[in-house]
Amino acid sequence: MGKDIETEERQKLTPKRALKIAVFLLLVVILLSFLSTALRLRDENDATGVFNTLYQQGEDNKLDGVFIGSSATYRFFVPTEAYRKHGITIMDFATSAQPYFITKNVVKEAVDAAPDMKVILIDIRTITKDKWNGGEAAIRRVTDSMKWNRNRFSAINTSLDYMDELDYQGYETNKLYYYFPLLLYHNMWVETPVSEMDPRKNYAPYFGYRLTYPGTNVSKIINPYEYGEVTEKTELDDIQNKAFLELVDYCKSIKDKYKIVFVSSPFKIRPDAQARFNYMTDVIEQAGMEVYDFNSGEIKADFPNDYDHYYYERLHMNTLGAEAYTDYLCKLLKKDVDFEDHRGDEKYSDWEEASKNYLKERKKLLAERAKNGSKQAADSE
Amino acid sequence: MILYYLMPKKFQWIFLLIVSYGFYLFSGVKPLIFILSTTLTTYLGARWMEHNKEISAKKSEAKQKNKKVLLLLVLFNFGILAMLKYYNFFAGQMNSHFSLFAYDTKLPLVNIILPLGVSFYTFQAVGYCIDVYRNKYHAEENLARYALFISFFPQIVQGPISRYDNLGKALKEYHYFDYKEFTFGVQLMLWGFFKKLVIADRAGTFVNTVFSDYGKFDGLQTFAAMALYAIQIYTDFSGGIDIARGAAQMMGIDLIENFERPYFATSVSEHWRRWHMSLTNWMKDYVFFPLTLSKTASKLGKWGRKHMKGSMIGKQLPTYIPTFTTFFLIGIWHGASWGFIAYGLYNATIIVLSMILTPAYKAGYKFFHINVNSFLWKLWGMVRTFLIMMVGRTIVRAATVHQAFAMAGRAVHLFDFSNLTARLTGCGLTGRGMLVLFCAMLILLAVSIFQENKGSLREAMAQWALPVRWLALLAILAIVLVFGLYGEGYSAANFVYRNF
Repeated sequence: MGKDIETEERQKLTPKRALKIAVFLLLVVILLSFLSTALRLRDENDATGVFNTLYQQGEDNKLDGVFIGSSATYRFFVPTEAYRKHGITIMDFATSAQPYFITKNVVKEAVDAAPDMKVILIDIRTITKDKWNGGEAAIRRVTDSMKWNRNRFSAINTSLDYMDELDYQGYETNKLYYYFPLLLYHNMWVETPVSEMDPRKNYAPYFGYRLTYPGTNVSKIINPYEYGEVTEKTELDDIQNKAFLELVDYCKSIKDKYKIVFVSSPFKIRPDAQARFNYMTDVIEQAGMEVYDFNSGEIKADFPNDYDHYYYERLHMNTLGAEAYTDYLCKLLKKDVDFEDHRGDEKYSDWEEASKNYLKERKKLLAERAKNGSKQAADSE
Repeated sequence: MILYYLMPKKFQWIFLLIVSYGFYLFSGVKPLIFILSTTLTTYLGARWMEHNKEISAKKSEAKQKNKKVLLLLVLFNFGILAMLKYYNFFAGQMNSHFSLFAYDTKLPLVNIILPLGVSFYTFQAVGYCIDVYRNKYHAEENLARYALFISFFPQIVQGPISRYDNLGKALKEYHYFDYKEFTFGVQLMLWGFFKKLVIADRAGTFVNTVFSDYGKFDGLQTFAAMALYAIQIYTDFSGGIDIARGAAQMMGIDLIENFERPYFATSVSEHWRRWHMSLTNWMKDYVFFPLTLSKTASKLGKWGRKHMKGSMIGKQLPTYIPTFTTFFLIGIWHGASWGFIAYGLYNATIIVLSMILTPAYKAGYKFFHINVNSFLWKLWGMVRTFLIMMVGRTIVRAATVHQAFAMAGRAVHLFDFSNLTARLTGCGLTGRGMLVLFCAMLILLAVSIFQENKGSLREAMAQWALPVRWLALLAILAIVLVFGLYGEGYSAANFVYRNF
């Protein structure tokens, strides 16, 4: 039989004390939240800056659209040029080697952050690849940068499920380390310079685009006619197909509100990848959405690609190529979407400023190329 | 916790029993067999002794019977402990001696995984049986309640070794939410995490680096590693105990204190009165006193007084053997190795020597006019005791006793003060890591000084203005979260004393 030790000295749980506990717990949550967001490493590709920019632009309701993807986006589409030449505000919402299995979550994040935008462009190059090699870092670029919401936890769970299905090796399998990045990063102060920590106020200076040195002439390796037109259609493997169909299903559910375009940016695509892309095109079009394929058909023929001057290497365009691509893409979009011209609107002064900064940076890049070019010429003499 | 306080009070102990066994199951199913066998045998044995007391006409008759029961219980349970902890050491030693005499016989070595907290719960169970034998209290009638006393989850990992008249009683009581107890429990846990994650594990990095290859390090680095190990073992163990006591306190259950700032002790014997108090009290009650008060000791005392008239040794003689026996047992309680045995005997030797030299000390104080109550003299006592314990703990931490003495030797002569910063940051910790460790130790020192002079810091904090108190608590929480060593590659459950 138990013994009752009820005494008068006991401090019972009065409403005031319950409130005190609740307030203290709230302070603990605030502290945890602060530390979790402040104690993060700045990704070398500044993924956090891209996410922060999306949240900020979404909050201010300034986005016409987002261009989702990986390097096939942030090396190809120049948001500041789209703004300068067309008055359109579409930002690159892309991270390096973005895992295709969470593209759905990335789209959802964009929709939640900027519900009033008009266009969602999704580059699906990573799905056409026969093997994805992004690893844990590629997942973390997304999940560590996302706001703490259900979508983030869903992205983490989905990622680890797919990594398991893919039989991927050498990654952290404990979900807690993804849910609470503090577990992983809290000790980085030991060696990391303070300047490389706390990316909370980090923003993408050119709305996600990363300038690419235009110095390399890749005409020898870019041969548009090497493979000819690939018309075969190859179904994706089961794991890729599952992720792809989930993405299409989700996009289908929101296509009435947004113009959704799946894009294959111009590069030297391998025939097997093009065959997979052809299959994907069919699925997307059957779902009532559009595809811009820059590697075959009408768009490839129409786009004025300059294989001598537009590429950095086989897979990525340089800044000159990206500008041409951006211009072409904007013209295509404007045919279907009625964009407002934001140029001159004070609300978009940050875009104006970023555009000027981009041009300055571009000028420097070209000057550097000219200098290097003349040096090379002198050396060769 | 919410469930615990909301459920009908009469079910609280059942809830704790389920949680305790659930927690224990995390360490595997096999260890469950051992804790269950200890629980069952000591429960039944104690009930048997109780029965003997009831049916025996004379007390002496019951005592005779119960002595045999107790012996059986002690042999069985310490036998299991010995098999689990000491068999391989014994077999290894025997095999090396066999080969010395060219015998081919080899005792097989067994791959044994020690059940979680086996030394702690075995001592707790045996202590309970001895208390029942001594009529200190009646045997528990309810097996499940007794099982909870043995397996109570906050203390199962590394103690303290509780007594049934404290913990058993507390577990029977109904526990109502008490705001003060709850908040004090949270604060104690937080402090435990601070000691464990910020100090112990960080010091451990330095210690592991130097101890694993001590030949590469100079005297200063070796000395620092030895000193830091003394700090590490204290903060690791007492931090773990604070976490256990804090968790229990949140549930309204008070576990006994296990530490009282042992490095403030001015002598080795005082150190042991402040260190791992639940074990030393256990040893005192069940080993030291019975041996000191035994007939043999009494005879030895008489012999000493007769043959060494007026000498201090003559008077102290009956306590020497119990002291050596107790510390030998304390040594091997920690584990099976010559290091632990040497550690126990080292402490016993220091204590016995200081007993023998007491008259000389007193004469010295008088001659040199030393005020033993002065702060400086006490400080010297603390430093001296710390250094003695530091060497003792090195014996335990080093791979071999030889290494321990080699390190102690290096620590006093191979000094190199050039490029001091690089030397101290070349032992597994960066400059920032060292700075954090140093600052955390300063916080620990400040808190310990406060506790030593003014008592409970938590009681004092309760008088502070709410914002100040909360700010202090949030600051400690932030320090633990940012500067604590946890996460990938670390396990907060890896307490040093968990292995003992």
